[in-house]
Amino acid sequence: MSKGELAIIGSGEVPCGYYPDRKMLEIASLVGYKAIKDAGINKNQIDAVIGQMAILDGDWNTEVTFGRLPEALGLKNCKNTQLVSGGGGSSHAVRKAAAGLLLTGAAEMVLIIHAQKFSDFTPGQQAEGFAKAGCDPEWEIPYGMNFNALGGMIAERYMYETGTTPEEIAAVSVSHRKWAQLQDNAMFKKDLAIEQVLKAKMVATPYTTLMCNVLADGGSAFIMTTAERAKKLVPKPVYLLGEGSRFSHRNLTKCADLTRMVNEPPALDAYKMAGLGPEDMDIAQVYGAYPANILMFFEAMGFAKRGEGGKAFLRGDTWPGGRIPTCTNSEAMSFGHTGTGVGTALLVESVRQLQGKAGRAQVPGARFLIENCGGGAWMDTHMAILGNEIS
Amino acid sequence: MSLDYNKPLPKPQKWSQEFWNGTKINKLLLKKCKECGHLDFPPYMFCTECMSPESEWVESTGKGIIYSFSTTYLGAPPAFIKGQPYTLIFVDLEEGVRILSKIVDCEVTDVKIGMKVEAVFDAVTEDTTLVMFRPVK
Repeated sequence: MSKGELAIIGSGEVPCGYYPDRKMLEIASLVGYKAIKDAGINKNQIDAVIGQMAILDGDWNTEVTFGRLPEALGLKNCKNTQLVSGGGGSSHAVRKAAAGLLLTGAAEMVLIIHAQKFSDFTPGQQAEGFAKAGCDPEWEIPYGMNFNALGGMIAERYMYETGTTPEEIAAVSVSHRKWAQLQDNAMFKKDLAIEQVLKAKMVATPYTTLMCNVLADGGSAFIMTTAERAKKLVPKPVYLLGEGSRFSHRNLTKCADLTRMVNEPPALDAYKMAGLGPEDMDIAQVYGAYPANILMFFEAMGFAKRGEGGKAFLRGDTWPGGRIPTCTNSEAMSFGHTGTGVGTALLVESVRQLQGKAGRAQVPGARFLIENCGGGAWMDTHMAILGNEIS
Repeated sequence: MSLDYNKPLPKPQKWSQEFWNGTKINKLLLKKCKECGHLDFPPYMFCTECMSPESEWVESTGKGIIYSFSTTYLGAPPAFIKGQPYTLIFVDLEEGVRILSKIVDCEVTDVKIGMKVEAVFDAVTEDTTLVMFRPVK
């Protein structure tokens, strides 16, 4: 893909949270419908559908693999459908799959759908499922490794090396919650104070319950096409301007530097490709799932020096109206964690922001933003620069 | 050792079986490439540096320092809930590889980055001995 060659023209989303009565096909149908209506196109203009893999839900993944999505939405001209996963990096993986279809001429208009319903599983199944997903079955799971502990081990080392304080860690949860209050679809909307975050029950040191994300039901969808077609279809296409990716590890023990990982090189690649820098960004859409990871990505994106990210969050630089609005959909910790969909939720929020459709959370005049996603136990990092004009 | 041990157990690969044979006789073995000398943890079928299929097992001193840790108080996988709180640690072994384990013989609130630890062996079932670490006194 070269700069500004591909664009997103519409998006859809359902509220995130605990919705036991809403089945997977209902979520998928709703978000698909909303994205099609939002883009203002006819459903039969879509000729490829990508379903993003759901966590724990083999039945749903089979349904998607066997063509449920194009049939359910009546996409009469569909030529291709597939199930795609990059784990937490899926919002990148589905874009790349769509880019392949679009740039080889296999498709002209691709609909991407994500749905997840964690309420179909018990808390024990979720804990075990995420332990299995994030941790090594031979070398980690027998010791009781779990996802919150993985996050905690990164945070302990990051705080040790940078001097970041518990208050600065808690400030990430507080900043997210400011945005959640402006997001109708967010799961947790009550305002938080630093003290409250620190005094909440300890989960995995240094993280309390209010520093951990909560698994939730939700889903989102978007429509991707070539920039050329996009310009004829919608007033404000959102262009893909720059990208960068790195893979690091499967097991965290194979990540040489837990406090840097491979976060900065893909950010530099993405800025270079877009011909833009951190100073040009109106928003930072950071997917970290835990506070220390948010700070590490925020710093790698160039919005604070190493170890200074927490101070920026504490000062309110990242809040609505701040210097660099960050995680405007309130991210996994407040919006809710929908498995492979956290990055997708940030992506559709990015699209809304750049199309001027972000409602109460709208950052006035937003033109460019940087977003990231990654999968596994922070196995990889994908950075992307999006804009509503070609830089 | 317990007959009703209900926690998940490692299911060794052909190329990692020797590691678990070692723990049963209280040895911490590391897979070393015969061609380039690289130590791989976790071990894989081929050397992850030079892709050589030729390897040997060398014994680690079992000594290392804590690179990072986290104590789980809540939300452990079901089989581990009764054992909360417990502290998971990343240990940088003297030989230069990093291994994940659990600390024993130490108050969870006393665990610190940089702490010197040594391997101890916990025969959790007849077939499986896990490697734990305790502070060096």
